[in-house]
Amino acid sequence: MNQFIRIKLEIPASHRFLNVLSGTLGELLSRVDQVDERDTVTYQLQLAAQEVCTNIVDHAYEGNPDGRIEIHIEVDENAHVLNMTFGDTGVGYETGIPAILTIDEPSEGGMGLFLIRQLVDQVDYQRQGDWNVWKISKKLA
Amino acid sequence: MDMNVSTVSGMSVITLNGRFDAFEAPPLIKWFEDNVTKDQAHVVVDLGGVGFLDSAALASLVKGMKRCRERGGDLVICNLQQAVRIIFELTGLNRAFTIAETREAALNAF
Repeated sequence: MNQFIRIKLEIPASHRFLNVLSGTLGELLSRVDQVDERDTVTYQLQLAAQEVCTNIVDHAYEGNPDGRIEIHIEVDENAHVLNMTFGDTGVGYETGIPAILTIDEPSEGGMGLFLIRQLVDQVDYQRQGDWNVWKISKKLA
Repeated sequence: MDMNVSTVSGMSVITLNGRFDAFEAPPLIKWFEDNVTKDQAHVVVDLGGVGFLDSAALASLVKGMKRCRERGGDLVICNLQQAVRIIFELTGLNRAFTIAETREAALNAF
């Protein structure tokens, strides 16, 4: 039995191509054996990944078109968990992930990190040398 | 994403189809900036064809809503797919927007 499924992607740090990651996640999750509420979980993971990458494009690379995002996706089919790691070499977050816990009024910004926290089970950020490393994890069943 | 704009009873109806994300949001923001005026501030956005929407898309709708309200009108959203509706609820924006079940109900919401 193939317990671990691993996929590695490297995409341009551009809003234009973030759909490639969504597409990969959608196709991957369509072939994973046990996923509860498959459509909902797929959308939640696609959106969480989109928000992490949008953050990297807008804040780490500040719109620099030469930036790259390295993404590792791992599904543990026995533990029913999907883990994703995002690496970039843009500007670091000196204070860690901004603490946005609630949204009290209609906002034109700041919803991304709030959404990530709502959509997955675990979010971590670390600065490792020249790299920003984001990790998200979600139970699939 | 496809964006189609029509006028119904003097109100603008924007129909969106496809993936509504950070790449697709700027043209909609520009439309609000160019077209929402004191004389034309009632806008319906039909999201029935949108199956994926991110925070940048939500932000563009908030921007449009604020612009409409500042000019004496409003922006009403309709036809939300279930997955998209959940995101509105998660962010609390379901309370900020007027959300109608159908386009007809949206046009009657002003």
